[in-house]
Amino acid sequence: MTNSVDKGEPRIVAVIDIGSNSVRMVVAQLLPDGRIDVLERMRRPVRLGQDTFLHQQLSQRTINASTAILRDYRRVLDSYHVSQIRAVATSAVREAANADAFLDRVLMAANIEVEVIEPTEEGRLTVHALLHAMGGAADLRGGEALVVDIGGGSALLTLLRQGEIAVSGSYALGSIRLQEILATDQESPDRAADLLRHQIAGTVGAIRNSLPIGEVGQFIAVGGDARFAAAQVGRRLPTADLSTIGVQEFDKFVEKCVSHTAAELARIHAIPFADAETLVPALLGYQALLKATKVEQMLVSDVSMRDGLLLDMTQSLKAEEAATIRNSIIQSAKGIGEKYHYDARHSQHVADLAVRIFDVMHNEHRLSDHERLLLYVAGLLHEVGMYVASSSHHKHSYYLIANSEVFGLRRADLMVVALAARYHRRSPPKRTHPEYMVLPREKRMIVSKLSAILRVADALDRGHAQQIRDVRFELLPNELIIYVSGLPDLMLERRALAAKADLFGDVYGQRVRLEEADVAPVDLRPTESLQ
Amino acid sequence: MKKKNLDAAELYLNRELSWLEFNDRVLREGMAADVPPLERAKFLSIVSSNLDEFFMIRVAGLKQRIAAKVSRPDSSGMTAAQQLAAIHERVTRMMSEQAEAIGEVSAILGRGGLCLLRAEDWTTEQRRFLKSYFATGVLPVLTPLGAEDLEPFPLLPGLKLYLALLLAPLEHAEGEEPAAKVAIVPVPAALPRFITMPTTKGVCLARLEEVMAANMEMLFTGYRIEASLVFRIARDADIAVEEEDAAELMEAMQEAILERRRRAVVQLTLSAGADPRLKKWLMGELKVGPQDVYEVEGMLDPSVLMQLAGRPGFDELKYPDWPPQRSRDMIGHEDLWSTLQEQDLLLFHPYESFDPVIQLVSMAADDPNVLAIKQTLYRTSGDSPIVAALARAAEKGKQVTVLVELKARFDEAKNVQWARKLEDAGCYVIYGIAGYKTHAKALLIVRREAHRVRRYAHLSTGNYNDKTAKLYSDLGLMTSDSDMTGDVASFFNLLTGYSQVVGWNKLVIAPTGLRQRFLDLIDREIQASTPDRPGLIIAKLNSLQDKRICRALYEASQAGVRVQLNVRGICCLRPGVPDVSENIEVVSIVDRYLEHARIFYFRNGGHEEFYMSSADWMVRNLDKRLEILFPVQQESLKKRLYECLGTYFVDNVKARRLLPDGQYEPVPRHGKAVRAQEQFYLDAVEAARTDPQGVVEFRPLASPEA
Repeated sequence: MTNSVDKGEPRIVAVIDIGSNSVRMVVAQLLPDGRIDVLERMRRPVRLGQDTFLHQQLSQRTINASTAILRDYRRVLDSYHVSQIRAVATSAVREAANADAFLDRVLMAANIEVEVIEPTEEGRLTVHALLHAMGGAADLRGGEALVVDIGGGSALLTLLRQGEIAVSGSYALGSIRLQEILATDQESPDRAADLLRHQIAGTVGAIRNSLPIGEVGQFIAVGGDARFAAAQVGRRLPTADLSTIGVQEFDKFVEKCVSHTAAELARIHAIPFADAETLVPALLGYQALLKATKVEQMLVSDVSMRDGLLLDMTQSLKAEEAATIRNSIIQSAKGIGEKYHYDARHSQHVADLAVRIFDVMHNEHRLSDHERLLLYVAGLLHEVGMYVASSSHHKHSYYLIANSEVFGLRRADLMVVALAARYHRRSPPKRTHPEYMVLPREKRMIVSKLSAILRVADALDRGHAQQIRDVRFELLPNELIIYVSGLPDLMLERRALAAKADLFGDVYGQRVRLEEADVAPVDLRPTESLQ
Repeated sequence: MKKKNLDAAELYLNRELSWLEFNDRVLREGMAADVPPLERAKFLSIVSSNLDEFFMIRVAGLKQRIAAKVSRPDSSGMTAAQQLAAIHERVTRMMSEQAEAIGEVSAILGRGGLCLLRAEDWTTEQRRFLKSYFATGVLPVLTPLGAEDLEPFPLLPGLKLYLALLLAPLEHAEGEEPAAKVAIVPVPAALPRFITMPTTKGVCLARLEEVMAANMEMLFTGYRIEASLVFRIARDADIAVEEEDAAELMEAMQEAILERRRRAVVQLTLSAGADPRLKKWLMGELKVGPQDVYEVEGMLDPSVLMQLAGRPGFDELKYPDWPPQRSRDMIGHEDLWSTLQEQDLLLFHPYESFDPVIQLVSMAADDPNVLAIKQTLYRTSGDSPIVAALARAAEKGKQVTVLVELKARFDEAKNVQWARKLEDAGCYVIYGIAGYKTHAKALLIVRREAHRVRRYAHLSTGNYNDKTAKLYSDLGLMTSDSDMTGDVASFFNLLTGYSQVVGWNKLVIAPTGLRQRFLDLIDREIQASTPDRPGLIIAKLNSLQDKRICRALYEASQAGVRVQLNVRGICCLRPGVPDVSENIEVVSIVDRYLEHARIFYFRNGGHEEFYMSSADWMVRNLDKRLEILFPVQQESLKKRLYECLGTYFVDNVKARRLLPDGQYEPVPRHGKAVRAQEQFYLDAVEAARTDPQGVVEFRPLASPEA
């Protein structure tokens, strides 16, 4: 695990996307507030798709051009001291007979390791970015939405149901592949468009048979050609990096583009020729799919697979960072335990059991990982008050914890931990307890929920012998059954539970029952320990 | 009302003639009684160096059009031939006024103790001194070209002085008519042009070519000098190099420097009263027509007057010192990094010091947290501290990318030198973009900070040249705004060929979108304009020549938008034409500092927008160059820019306004005299006075050019 958080090193990542028409790179940094700040967006044209889709392999010339670009990109990566790079290649490399040779060359020349990804992964990444960008802006929860990404090699279609991926698939509507069917460049623009339309109609027919696209309520286009159309005739929505184009405007725009050759389009719009060439096939593809859905307007999103890659990387960075902080909190709490000569093994065991119960009860308490961590810390420290005196040690625990410093925990969090420890035995929280009542209501709820669990966990190690290890849980409507195996006698624990599970019953409305494990069913809920 | 045809030729002024009017305004400063005499000498010198460039580029271009039989008239309806005729007429008049002004300034300088004597005013004693000076100091280095050297006629380098002589042998065969011979003596460029003569008080100077002319019999013993004249030529310097790739570009450029000497002569300047035989002979040999010939009373190359102005001492004959002040935005801020994290900085040179810019590059070079520096260098001074800092940064292992624009006119030789120096230090040097001149001035610094990298940018209207930053009036903006710095990063990716354009946040770039953006901004102003709240466009720039912009401004005027233009140089737009440009006002300021900033203001229905740029409204800027237009976003800076723009339009000392006929006249003065440049200087002093450090910089000038 990197220790970058402590040193304040910038966290800079890069994604490289070797597509069918260009090699692109995005360099971004993850800011301390969690935002992704894009530093560089780069793109250089290289016609990998032409080679692969026409000749099944990448030419030396194309490979050389690609490595030259990546060498330049490497210079940029070095200038930012980029720590993590994820480079992916899609269909143009995936389907090339000499893909391995290509990947080797890139690794040798630019020291960039490229991963070839499948269409489903491409689709997932794009949709991931799309959902992230759209957030609550456009309501995707209401029904079904079709996400269409027409690339050079194929079209990726994803059906979203209530904002979740329902089905996705890749179809032969890639703009470069479509371009191929225009055998020569001699075709007049009109004739070429007819040929393309015919070809596209066939594929769209096949798509209709496999995907219920006729019923979708929203049509969301992603991809460079769609973005180009949006820039020309779209209306920018105020949020979420979205534009919208009405069907009629779109049709008009497509008609206009169709009447020009690629060379003319390149000149009129000042775009690279390679982009101009795929524009008409891609637009006709979007148009045919849009018609098939009967949606009145097309949404065009600015996001791309690259944003999805970036999200993936930064989310893993965030997770890594959270783990670092969590780790330092736990270490700090253990330090306090040692200072007060706690029973390390008992405390650890109770803490572990507590978070297992926490996980089982997740749908009941709906608390986050943060509270899970507070419970764990409370488990570790619940008995530090023994250092002062055995009687009323829960109260001593409370003030020892409340007056300690746990690195990484804020004051408010520490009070929750101290109170959860205070209520691990004897009296449950009461309105007469001033230290409890000063907390805001939601914090009091948290204290109750956590201490209820802690009491049960503590009861399970009543003998401080960590005998109850092999446990399984079954959550019934009114009852939490804890199956224990390998123990001759559960007398002690049952009695402890009887005394301590009261709060659990009050908070969760569930009785806790301890059973021998012989008849235990398989626990379907995966649980996860912190350690 | 019948809609006027906005393409009509009579609505546009000819670009060359408009430029000549600009040069005339420079001349007016050289003639102005309120300008100190050595400064007048400077302006008179600039008139000439400007004309040299004009002939070498513009006149040469017109001649090429004629040679190529391009007969299409320009937007003002003039053919190339008509333009050449008009230019000859205008320049002849200008040079004669200039000669007269030189006489007048010489007289004033003489009274001030700096005598510039003509040969006829030398005393006997001075004559004797000069004769011996010639014999010992000049004669040995002369390389006269005799008749045999002149067949075929040699390639005389341009912009140098020559003596042409008609010689008759003293001894010849009895009864034979002596055959007159011609000779040419180049005036050695290595010798001082002004020779200090003995005098009783002050400084007394003679001009080398006159000293030579007076003593030619020492060179041509055995001949009688029948006639002599001084002449000077300008050659076509138009550079058209093939730009296949950058590696070759540099070689091509070095060849271009050589090539320049071989190009056609586009102007022949002769001393007045030239012997007709010599004149005819020269015209024939140099292949020039009557329209290329200019006869001048007195000095043929007044550009050397700059040497006089640069002499140390005689401060009472110069402008009072206006030392650049500490920038008001820097006051109270010690650390540039932390200041820029919070706010943008506006620097107004030369009223405010250029030092923060040097400091920024220098700090970046020495800061271990700086990862990369990228910069464009267009015209950079020789011993530039910026070049030194960039080299140092590269040596310290930072990624340094420098675009050295080799195509900066007449500076190629210098630029090749800096490029090499930077490359040796480990910088990644790009020699421009084939087909486009990189005119944008941009600096980007990538710095590693706590938990993030931050980028800092400096964008400017002026070059990274600490010398000209003291003479040109320019504005620069420093920012760490991530949209802006991201765009600057993209701009450098474009320059380095690392990436195509992927989209811009806030910058607008020529040649891809700048003209269209200007047209859109003007159009938006038209749309937003109502009789109650008329639109307002204020622009300050060097030249306005792009016809589509002119046309859009006419449309704006017709729609009731008020258009205030401060155009220092060329302006092809005719203001004040009924039903076309009644709402357009054009003024020009030529003063102590060269007006060089480009500022654009659009009222935008109250949501005022301010931009600055490296680009003028010229076809070449919008189509043939890489330029940046950048917004000024911070409210305090907008306010300051608005005030600054306003000051240009209340100047009634140095401002001249353009009349519908293309002539300029002084802005009539009502009430208090306002001189914009003085106002800016006083404002800067006032602002710096509040500086807690109390620093008003007094720095000794280490060199005469400083």
